[in-house]
Amino acid sequence: MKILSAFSFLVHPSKHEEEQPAIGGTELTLEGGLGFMLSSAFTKASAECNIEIAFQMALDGSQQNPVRNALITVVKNPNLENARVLARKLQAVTTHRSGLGLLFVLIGKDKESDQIRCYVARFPADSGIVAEEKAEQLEIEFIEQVFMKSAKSYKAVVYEGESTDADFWEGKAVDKQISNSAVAISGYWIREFLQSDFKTTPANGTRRFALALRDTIQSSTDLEVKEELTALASLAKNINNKVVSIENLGDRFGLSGKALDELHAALKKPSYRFTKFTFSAAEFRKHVRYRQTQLDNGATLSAPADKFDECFQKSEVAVGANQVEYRTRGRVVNEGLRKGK
Amino acid sequence: MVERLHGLPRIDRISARAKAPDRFVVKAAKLTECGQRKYSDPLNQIQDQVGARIVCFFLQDVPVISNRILEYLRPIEERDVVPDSRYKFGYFGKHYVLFYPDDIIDDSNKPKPNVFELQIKTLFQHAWSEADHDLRYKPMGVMDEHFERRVAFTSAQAWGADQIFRELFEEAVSNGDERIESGTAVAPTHRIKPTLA
Repeated sequence: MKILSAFSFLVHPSKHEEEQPAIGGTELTLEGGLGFMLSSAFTKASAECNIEIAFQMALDGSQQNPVRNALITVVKNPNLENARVLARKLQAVTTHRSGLGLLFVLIGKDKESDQIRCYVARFPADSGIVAEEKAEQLEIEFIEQVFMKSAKSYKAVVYEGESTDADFWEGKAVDKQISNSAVAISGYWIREFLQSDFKTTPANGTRRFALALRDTIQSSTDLEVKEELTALASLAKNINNKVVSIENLGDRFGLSGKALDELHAALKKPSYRFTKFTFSAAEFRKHVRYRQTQLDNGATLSAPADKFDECFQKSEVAVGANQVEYRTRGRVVNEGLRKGK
Repeated sequence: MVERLHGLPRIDRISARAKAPDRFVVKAAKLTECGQRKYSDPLNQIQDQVGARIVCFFLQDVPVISNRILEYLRPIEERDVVPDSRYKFGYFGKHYVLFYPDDIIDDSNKPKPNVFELQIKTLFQHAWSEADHDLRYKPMGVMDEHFERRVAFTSAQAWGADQIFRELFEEAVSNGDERIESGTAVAPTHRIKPTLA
């Protein structure tokens, strides 16, 4: 897909300032190294931007979002002034902590289909050193206001669609600050600037993960995989409100490759591995309430998943004996009989 | 939707339908008050090509159901549909335009638009709207003022019934009837019946 229009703006941090500074901007001609870099970023945007987001509706419930409206205006009529509206919105939410940034707004269209792509990216400012070899000399220069795509706080979003009525409600973002961080980190780009949220709600993402976990534990024939995943279930309460994906949960909890493969195989769609969502401990408890361990002597131990390790203390009987001993202590509150399966 | 609403009391039914082609054509051809075509791109602009409806017992149940739905689905619109004047009676209902849940979408063939309409109504709101809708699609000739006034009267009756049931429910709960609040007093025949129209 070819870039038809490209604009760039220097965005100063001006959140809470009564008078917003004027924003310098330019329409780009995409030549040389800059043109190559932006074209490459534009082409790879759909693959690189992997956080599914959706614009929020207006507070009164109407189907309106001011950032989406500004985006549609640029898509329909790409010019410097229309693109500058996006830059102003970003400036109004940028704090001194985020600092100076260079904003790019690129619009492209597919020749064969009517597919339109709008790519918005913010490169943070940094300082750097330029080194240039001349004959036997080396010239070094310190420069400020260097803007780098590879920086940790680079952010971008891409929207694609054919219809400005039906489409452009959902997009895909990349925010290199979202890793294992709390929700607040994603607040600046996704929530404050784009007035959007993760497309997958906390309950939906957590439910999906909990069901995959439960199904894998049930169906796996590998005892070690079962143990790893049940241990994960016990620890899940510690990631409440954290931005996660099923993929990075594996890294966070040190799951083995085998356990990860079985967990991923239980997902309805492979893409769910990478979907970002905010983990909800309350939703998780609805689906993974009890943890159960069965011994070969017929004993079955059961306790709430997040308290299992507090209820039962496990120890190895003898090294190499492949036997364990569980201890528990409490007051009897109930006894009963159950029919078999 | 049935799974997501599991455990909520006093849901009479959950249903969904794809809009019939003839109804779509009628809607697509609608004109504005100025005589212009309302939809320039109906296939993309008409957002109730798939519609779902949840019918519940009492007005108090509507926000509870709404909150549960919004835990799992992202909205792009939320509306309390009421007559445009406090002196009129007609259609009442809670409407949402929501993204389709990912689980049911084929990523290689995403629907356009990628949203559906959800209506949440009480039994009385639902009964009135179904009867009114059926009347409007019958070839009855001109619906005069007397006709419209009688239709409005029935809406007022349904509205009144909802208000009384709201008060009765609150009294029953405040009198300590826990079965009412938890829904365990509901007769077994009142189950969630997923239907596809």
